[in-house]
Amino acid sequence: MVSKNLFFIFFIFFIYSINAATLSISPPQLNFEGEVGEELCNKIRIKVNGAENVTGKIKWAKEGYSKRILHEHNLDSEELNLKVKFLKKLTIEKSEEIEICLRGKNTGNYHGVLLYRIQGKPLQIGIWTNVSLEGKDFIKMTGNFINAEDKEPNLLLFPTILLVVFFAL
Amino acid sequence: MNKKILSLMVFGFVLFGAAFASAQPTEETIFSVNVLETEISISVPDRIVFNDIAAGYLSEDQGFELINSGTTDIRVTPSLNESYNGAIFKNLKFDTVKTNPEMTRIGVFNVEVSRPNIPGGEKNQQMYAWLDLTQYSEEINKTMENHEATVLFTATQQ
Repeated sequence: MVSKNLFFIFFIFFIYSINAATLSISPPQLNFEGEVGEELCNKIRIKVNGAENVTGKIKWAKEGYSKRILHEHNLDSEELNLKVKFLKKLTIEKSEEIEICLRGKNTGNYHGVLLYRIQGKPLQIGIWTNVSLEGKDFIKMTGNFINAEDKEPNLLLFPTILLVVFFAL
Repeated sequence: MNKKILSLMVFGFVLFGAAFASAQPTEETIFSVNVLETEISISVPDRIVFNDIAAGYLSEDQGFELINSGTTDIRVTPSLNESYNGAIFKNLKFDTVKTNPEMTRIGVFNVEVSRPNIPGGEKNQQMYAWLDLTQYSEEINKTMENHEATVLFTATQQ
């Protein structure tokens, strides 16, 4: 009778252990703060039970949106002129540290979610990603360069004067 | 003096000295602790099987647990895997209570699971799933045996 009960408990434990998938990631949030064009990097640690194939992707909300609502994050990095480098497919044995590097072309505050899941398993973890980029972005810099009303000295002024002087002579 | 007596005396002195030193009150006490990293950690069951169902019916509830074994409060959002192109599991509904449930459809439903009471522990959130085909209007002309969909449980920090 006792051995039957023991077998039953062991059986329940065995069924539970093969039917549950576990995934852990640290930290739960990443902050990238820097200048436009600068490469900003952070690290995360992913833990699994045994060895697992893990896939990753990153999704973004519209610029300026910062609420932690998952379904509002459906833009790709390219749509926000962000270049993000990280491992999208890897095999992890128990634990691995991964680097995420990011470079942006435009100033602004961006809110993303870095998603990692175990291939073939029903769970995924999202790491909230806050990006704050300062400085002059590429498009504005081009605009300033050709803007005639710009009061700051620009590089077009000198060749123009030179040309006028040349023709006057 | 006998060598034996001399060595016995030295040993006695050492023993007395050690006992005296250990009995002295210390001026500082060292506190030590392991501080665990802030981590999201979640466990979900691999498979949930419903009993047979037909259009116009509501399935029996299927209970399961979400386990938060990290060190932070999380929000878990179930969603259908992008590869699923059927219509049946779009009628999957969830709630945290079995009696008088509100049953919220997949895609809209999310649940908050607080962190474990003790670091390194687990916090279990009881969940129930239903397949609600009461409003399913299409004719099902052929029995779909073992019709499956992967439901992805996404955990984020609250």
